[in-house]
Amino acid sequence: MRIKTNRNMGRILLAGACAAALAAGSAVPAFAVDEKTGTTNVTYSSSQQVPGTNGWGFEIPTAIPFGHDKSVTVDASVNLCNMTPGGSVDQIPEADFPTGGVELSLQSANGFQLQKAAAPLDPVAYKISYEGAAVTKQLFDTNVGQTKTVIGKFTKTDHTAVGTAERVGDAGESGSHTDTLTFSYDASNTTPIP
Amino acid sequence: MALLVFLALAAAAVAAAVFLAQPEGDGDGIDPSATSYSIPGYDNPGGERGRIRIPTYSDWDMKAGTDTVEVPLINTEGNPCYMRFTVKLSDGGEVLYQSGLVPPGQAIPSIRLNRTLDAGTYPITVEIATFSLDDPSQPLNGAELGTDIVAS
Repeated sequence: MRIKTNRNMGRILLAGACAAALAAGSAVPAFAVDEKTGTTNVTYSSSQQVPGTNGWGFEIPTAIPFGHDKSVTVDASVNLCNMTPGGSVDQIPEADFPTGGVELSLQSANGFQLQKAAAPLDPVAYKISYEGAAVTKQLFDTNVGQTKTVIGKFTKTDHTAVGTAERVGDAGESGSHTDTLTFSYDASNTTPIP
Repeated sequence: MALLVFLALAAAAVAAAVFLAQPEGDGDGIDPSATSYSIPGYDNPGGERGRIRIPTYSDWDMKAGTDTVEVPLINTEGNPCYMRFTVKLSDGGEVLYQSGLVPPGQAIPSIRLNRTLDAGTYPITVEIATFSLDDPSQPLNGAELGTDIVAS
């Protein structure tokens, strides 16, 4: 697939955005266009935190590719991360992070089964095991099904759940078998900051 | 001299006309509002290992009675995927906004909702669907982030 970008369009949009930034105050981003490359750099006059974000987030696996060999496991780890440029997890400001930690949940579209896009679905079971001080639910498999389930409560010290994915079943049909995982966080589930 | 000025102005007018005639987007599913938005150091060093960086969101403030939220939706530089953002009301699931595909290192600078919001606090869910850079029709693992829109 051909992907192209329209640099001129970007410049026009950013000109408008720049005007909005100047009108709204110092906590919003200031824009600067590099005329040599056509790229845009964004800096923050009073904070390195992107507006509308907490400055921290999560790292999740893009995909969990299983191979033919069932004994070969795949990394499925998740971890808290500092989204502020150059910052580590322990440098997340106390004021920006809920005191009780934050919960991350996991939901499988197919109930922890890989399956084909069309019938016969030929479901193939797999499981993910999580380890770490943050973890409250170790095993995610077909028994969990499609229910959104909390993996654990993450803090600046217990920031990683080491995940190991393992294919349990075997495919009876040829072709691609897939599942989609959704990791979720809801601020309303956290302990309010006093 | 006058001729040179005239020619320069004519060339500028032609260039502007050509630019304005360009269609929005490029037909590949990329959001036409997506624009380069690199922030020095704001990247994902784990992208090469297949890791996606997902932000969490604080309250989104907006002016009551309007439809625009001045919050950028960023696909962090280095993420090994396209992102599509969908903003839904947590109660009822009404879709307030959905982007097209946003490449890594680009962002939607601000979002225009499908309707205006009266004064109040609206719990929302930001769904981030991700897609393969090699085949944007191929979904990858995604995320859902809850926060509030505060219109005042």
